[in-house]
Amino acid sequence: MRKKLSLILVIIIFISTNFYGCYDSKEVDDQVYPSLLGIDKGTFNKLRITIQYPTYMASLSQSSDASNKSENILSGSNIHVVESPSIIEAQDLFQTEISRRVSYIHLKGIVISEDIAKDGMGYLLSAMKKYRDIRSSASLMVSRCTAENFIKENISSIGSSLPKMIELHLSQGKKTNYFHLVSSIEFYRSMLSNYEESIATYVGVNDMTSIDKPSTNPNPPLNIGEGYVPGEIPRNGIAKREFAGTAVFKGDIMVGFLDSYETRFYSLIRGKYKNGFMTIPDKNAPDKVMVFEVKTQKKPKIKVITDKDTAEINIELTLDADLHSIQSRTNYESLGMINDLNNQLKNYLEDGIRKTILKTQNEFKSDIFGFGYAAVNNFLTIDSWEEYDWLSKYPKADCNLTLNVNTSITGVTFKSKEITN
Amino acid sequence: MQKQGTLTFYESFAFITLITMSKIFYTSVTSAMNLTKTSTWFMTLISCFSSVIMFYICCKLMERFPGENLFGVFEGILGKFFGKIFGMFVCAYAVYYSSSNLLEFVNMLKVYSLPNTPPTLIITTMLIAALIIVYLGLEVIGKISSLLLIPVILGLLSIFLFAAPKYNFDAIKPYLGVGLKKTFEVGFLRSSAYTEVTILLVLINSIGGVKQIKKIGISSLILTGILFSISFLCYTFIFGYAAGGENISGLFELSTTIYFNRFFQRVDSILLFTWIIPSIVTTSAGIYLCLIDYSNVFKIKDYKPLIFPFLFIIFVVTSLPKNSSEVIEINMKIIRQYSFLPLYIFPIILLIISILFNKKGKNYNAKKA
Repeated sequence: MRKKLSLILVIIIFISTNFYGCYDSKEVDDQVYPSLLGIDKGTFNKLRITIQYPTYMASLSQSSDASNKSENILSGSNIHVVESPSIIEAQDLFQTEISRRVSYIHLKGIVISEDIAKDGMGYLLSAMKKYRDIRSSASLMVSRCTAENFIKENISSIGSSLPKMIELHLSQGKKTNYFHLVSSIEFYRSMLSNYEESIATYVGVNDMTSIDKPSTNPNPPLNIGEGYVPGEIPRNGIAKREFAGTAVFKGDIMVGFLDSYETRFYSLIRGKYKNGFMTIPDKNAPDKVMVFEVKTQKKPKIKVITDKDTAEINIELTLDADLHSIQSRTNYESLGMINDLNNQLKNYLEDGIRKTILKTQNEFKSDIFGFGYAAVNNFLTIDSWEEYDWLSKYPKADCNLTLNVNTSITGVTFKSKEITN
Repeated sequence: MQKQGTLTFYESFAFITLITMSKIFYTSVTSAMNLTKTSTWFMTLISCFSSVIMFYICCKLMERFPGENLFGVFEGILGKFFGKIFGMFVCAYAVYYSSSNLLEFVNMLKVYSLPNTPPTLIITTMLIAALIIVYLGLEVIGKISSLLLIPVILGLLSIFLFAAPKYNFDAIKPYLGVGLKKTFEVGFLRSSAYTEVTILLVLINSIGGVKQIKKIGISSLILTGILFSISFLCYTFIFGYAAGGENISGLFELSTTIYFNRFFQRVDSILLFTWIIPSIVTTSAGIYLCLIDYSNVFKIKDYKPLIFPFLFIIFVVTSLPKNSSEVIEINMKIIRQYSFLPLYIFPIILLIISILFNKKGKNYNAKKA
């Protein structure tokens, strides 16, 4: 009897929770769920809010009446812009045009224009953090152009699912390390932290005109290790929006950016780098390059000494590399030359990493590497740690880098022969 | 005397663990983080240890009065008049405890999940569920607890596990946080977060005597302490101490950060499930405690006719706070920081009085012999 009653009781409890649906029920078909939210400075009001949401229709690009449609409608998404005093009230203002309720609960990304970021975007982040509908896992991006422009150029070129496209595109950063996926909660946490400063994904729009200029140089230059920023990658394609580099913050104010290569060096120190192709010059053959796939072998070891006048940061990185190409056909794979090969790669990486650290110290004065998490090892209590004020010490800190590089795999060929002419 | 039914070891253990751990889903995490920052994870272990000691001392008091529950002990030491007054005080506290917990649950639910549902509807449905549980009695409370404890713990642990890729293990540095002195002070005060274990002193006759409640109480406190400590650690790994002091529900916020990949994200619903069950059991336990207490004080044989009046009182008390800030900053502060005074310290004082004045239960000598 008691067992039956217990069972009835459990059922009643579960059913009773469903009564709440009378008030908070939301018909999925009555709503639109923006995937991207753009925030710019407004003209008639404080903010200009842009949203892009999927239309839940198959792409129209192949239909007969495609000729008069805009690119976004063709790719299965709508874009709306409204000026509003706040991000949240914009939801209601969109309702003046959109026949369904705008809900932010499925936002994949928040794009903030560089203009706003340079003035400080803490007030926006605080507002979004407090609002239940904006999830803390939504990615945070800073756009070189206006957020509105970026979103307008955010065209899904493969498949008709806008959310899928955005999520897949953002996840590419983990593979290439040219940019980083930063969630809004990660940014918010760093913004309040006294261990590190915050970063955001750097994005922009590429008008794709630079690549169309006819080349006047019969011998195009070999640009190695030249990082790109969004909007300046010489390329042509379908979607004009692109992700490259990292927006760097001090507190909530954007103080600069790292290009795509500097972002890789940042990832190496931060321990977020997994693997990626790197092209380096062959010192024995000008104009020729070698291509490596550089991988992290061990987690970076970082120690910070704080008992001196200036703090000392000691970084030890252990990397492994697969050699994929030697254009000069030099036999670097041979036992006698493998050290030379390792040294060339090591010098290249060392130079890049040092320059990146110096840039954050001298130009940005911002510890985006989170060296504070190592510095705090020297303190036992929060009072002493806060009194030390690591973030103010970081720009003057001395930095020592120990890089261990080993090329373990040398490609599918061995002992290349000279080309006979 | 009210017949209460009996509970097995596991049922009692599950019951006490479930009602003690329910607060982890609410503002408790954030409040503790604001007080002790990076040392919160071991501050709660200090609270747990203090609770174990104080509960052990309370059990010593019960040993002097075999066959009596806490109210019988009060009357035995303080006399009928003061014993009844203290009984009424405990009854009032149980009403306050139930309504505050219920209100905190409602506020959380409104903040995160049901913004448009009138609070009265949520409170009423919760009270209906509690009414059925309390009507069916202690055994049903025990059975529900024993049935749901493991799913609730698994749900909680799975949230911690899924969030693991985002953990920053360095975020718990500096290890001593606000310093050992303050951590110990707060740890002792926050032993109030474990006072639910004292309900065993009331239910002692349904559970099987002092030896049994000692085992149940201590093992339940240890498990809850470990769960609290893990929760604080995981929470600190995700938010750090600065951002960690801002969230209304620390664990719910933690669950929203989970993002494995496109196919595995938005698992907050797991937490909602593990969140609602302990809340219902906790509310029911509070109501059951005040009913039993009131019945004991006024020698009422059957508590069932009292259920509706008490539910009505609790419903009224839930409407007293004007806003959620009042609930968090007054009600919860009293319950989670100062409730150890009446629930641990007072029985300890009674033990001292009983030793000084050599007061013992009627069966004490018989049992010894």
